Amino acid sequence: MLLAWASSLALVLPLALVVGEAIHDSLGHGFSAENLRVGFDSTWYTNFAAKTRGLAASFSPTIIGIGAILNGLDATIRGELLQMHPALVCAGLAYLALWVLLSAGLVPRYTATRSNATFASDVVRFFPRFALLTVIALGLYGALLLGLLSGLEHEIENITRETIDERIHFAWILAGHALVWALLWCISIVFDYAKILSVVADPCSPRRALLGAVRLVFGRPMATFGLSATLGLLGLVVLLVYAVVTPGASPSSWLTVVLAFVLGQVFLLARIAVRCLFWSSQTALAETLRSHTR
Amino acid sequence: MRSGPSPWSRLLWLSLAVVLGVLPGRTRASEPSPAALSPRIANYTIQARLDHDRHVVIGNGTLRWRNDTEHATSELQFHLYYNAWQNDRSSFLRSPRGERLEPSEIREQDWGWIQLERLTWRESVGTTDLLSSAEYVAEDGNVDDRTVLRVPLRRSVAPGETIDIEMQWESKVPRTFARTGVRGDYYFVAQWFPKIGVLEPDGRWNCHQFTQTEFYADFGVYDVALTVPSGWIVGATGRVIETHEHDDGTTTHRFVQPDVHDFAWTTSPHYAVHDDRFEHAGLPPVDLRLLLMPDHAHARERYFAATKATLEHYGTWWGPYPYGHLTIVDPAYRSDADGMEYPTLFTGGTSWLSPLASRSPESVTVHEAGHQFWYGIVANNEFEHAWLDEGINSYAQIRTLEVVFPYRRFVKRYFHGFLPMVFDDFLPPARTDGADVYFGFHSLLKRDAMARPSWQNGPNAYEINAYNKPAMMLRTLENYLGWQTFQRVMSHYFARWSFRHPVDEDFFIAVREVSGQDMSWFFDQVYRDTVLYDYAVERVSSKPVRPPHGFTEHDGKLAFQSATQGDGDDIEQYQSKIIVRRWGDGMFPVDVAVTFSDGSTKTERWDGNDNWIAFEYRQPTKVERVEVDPDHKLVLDVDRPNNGWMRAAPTDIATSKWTSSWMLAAQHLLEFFALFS
Repeated sequence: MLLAWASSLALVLPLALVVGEAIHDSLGHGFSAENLRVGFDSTWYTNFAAKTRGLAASFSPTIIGIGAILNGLDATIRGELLQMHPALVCAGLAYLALWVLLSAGLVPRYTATRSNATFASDVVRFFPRFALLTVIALGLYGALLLGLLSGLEHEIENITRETIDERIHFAWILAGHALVWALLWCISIVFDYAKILSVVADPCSPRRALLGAVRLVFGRPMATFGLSATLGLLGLVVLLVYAVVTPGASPSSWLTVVLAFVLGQVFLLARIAVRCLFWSSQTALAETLRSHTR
Repeated sequence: MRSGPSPWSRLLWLSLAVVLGVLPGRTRASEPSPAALSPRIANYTIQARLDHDRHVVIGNGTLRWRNDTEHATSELQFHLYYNAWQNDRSSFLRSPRGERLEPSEIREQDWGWIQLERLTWRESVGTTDLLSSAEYVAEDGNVDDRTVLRVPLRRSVAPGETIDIEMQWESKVPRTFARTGVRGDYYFVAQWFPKIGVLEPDGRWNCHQFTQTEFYADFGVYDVALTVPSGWIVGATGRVIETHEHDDGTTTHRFVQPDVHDFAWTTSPHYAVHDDRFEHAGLPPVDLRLLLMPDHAHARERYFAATKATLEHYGTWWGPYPYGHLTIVDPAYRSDADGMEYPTLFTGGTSWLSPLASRSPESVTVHEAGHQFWYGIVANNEFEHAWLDEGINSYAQIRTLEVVFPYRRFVKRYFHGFLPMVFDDFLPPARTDGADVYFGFHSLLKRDAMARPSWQNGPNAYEINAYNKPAMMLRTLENYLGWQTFQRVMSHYFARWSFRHPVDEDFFIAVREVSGQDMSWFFDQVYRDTVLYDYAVERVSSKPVRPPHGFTEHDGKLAFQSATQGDGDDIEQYQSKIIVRRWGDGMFPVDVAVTFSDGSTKTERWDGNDNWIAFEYRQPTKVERVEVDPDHKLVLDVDRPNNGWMRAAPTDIATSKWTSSWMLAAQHLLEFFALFS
């Protein structure tokens, strides 16, 4: 968990330095520095946004508070993560790959038998299967988000061409996204269990693991989907708590700025912890369900 | 804040002035009738029927037109606006505005057109067909554009003569290209009839093609009977004076409105009708009628509040609204009919979920209600001087919002724009907050001079020159002259040009006459040129004053003195120097506020003409803060942040705070990528 968090920090820090330098240069000795210390300065921001290019142009006031999560959430739901700034997309893909790597070492540790091998050797052993399964899953995600979702949106526009009630249009679009994300959820659960089975049922080829996962997930849907939904709700609670406690633009001293940053990192760790909880809980459930079927 | 005569007495004197013809200005050949507010030159009596199945309006009627100039004319010119959407060869679809559309995605039923079937001149001696000799004209040379029809006459129309032109036409209502159109069973119908151009006092027809601007027409009386499916609600310019139901499932609604220069209407079975009344001491009452769509029911009181605020403040500041009634239309979702003005009717616009902080519909309602004054009553030619209504009204709109609806926050909409989130910590910029958003060598402010006729503005220049730049120009002017003087300028201009067609010089004359100041130096820069203003604090230093180091003369002899020598009881002094720089090519007098470390202040005045100016001080305290234009009078300054300097600017902590916030947001973004692992 700490390794994931440290990796996230390491990937983003160089990018943050670029953005920070642009902000610093823009502020100079001006009053905007004082305004930004105690709150925000919209005039400075319109000036900055008009002049800035590159990665620093991704800075906007909506990153504050819960906005830090909403921007990413919105892009994810709409299948537009790859449309972010290239530097952020590269960092995101690198982080995704890192998680594949990490999960290959984590899952063996969550099994009932608890692997005696080192973390690194488990990674070497299971990463190729995890990577293959991830690539297949990404292909399916891409087909859903870039293909089906796009097609659905186009079809919904045709269906609602003459709609003049915003609520109806919203309902259609929401339904379209719900359908795509329901399918995505199914794929995600299946591939999670496939990765788990490739560890707990080792030796197990990715093909066998996938077939086994489909049988397991859809053979016991209440358990598998229920667990995922429960953990998902937990993740949502974490985000809601963050939305309530996170300071907005008010931190104005070094102490409060550092505290706000630390608080933010704590919640980031909480998100990572929830993901680890997914792996550990699903691993435990997979082993339990397998033992019941034997 | 109001000074001068009350609105009621202004209205009375205005009416008398119109009657007695004592108002200065361009000569007209004849005088309006005593009961009229306007010259009533172009008067329409129309019967129109909506064929919903075909999306066609079938119209016929009579134009009673008077040659109000001292020149005879041997032709008429008409606008046929709907032909702008007849095909992709029109000048509209070739203009910068039309280039945003993708013609290949437009379906057959989406196009619009207007087809004249009969155009005749009815005289006592008989009726003459005019259509056979009519021809389309295009000042831009585009032979495919059919938005202006030139109609030669068999004889001239003499000055002061009134003629009757009978018309029959069909207008195919398009899927909205520009504020008028149909979506489902919702119609907003504007610019839908053959509209005669304006014969100017010099005898020339002013009848431009329809491209990127708005409209221009003479005042008159409109008597329009609209037949629509029964049960459909109708809103239109004017008051409804009779309604008649037919056996074929249609109903005719007859609207009449004198002293206006356009007629628009809307119909849909989905409207809910709400009524209210504006009353304010010293201003005439106004009946308000709101046509509200069901998904915007929450906005009912907000629409009324914003409209009343406009009638109150515009009526108090500029002049009273004279018509006695006003229709507010809440346009249907995605009808693209939002945010537009027509005489005694306007469209607002809002969303299903619209927090108060977004000021939607308040902002657009104040703007469009405000157009009843600037456009509806003071009726400038929007083809050529769009800023005289859009710019003046944008300035007035922001002023009204600051007083009545000051609460605003940045609102970002997520999930395809449906779900709003209010960010309490910051404000969105208003149009007159400053010109920072246009900073840069290729600034929008340099695209075209405001003086260039609006219809000739180049790419991306129309909107800046019609709305934002004039609003900032006027706000700067108000700051320079002071509110009381500027309000008198505006109310004088309003009274003088009500129910008339002012041009840009008329406004400048009003400024000069009322303020007593020649502001041509300002308008030459801002209006006739494209200068940018940018004043900045370039450098500040405060150095302790030390005894001289080197040889100095004492009692006629030279002696060496080192910097460390000197009277140990000397009070430390600082030699401070401030360089203020004019980076832009625009010149404007500015104040420079200097604050010293003991809290004392000095305000310097600079005429702003030179490239730079230095201020020097020798005193026991250092300079702590410097601000150029501390009252922010020059909102046209394109770089406000460089106007200020502070010794102990907390740049590092501010940078760390916001960089760490960005960093956290980026880390959360990475977590969303990890969801797919």
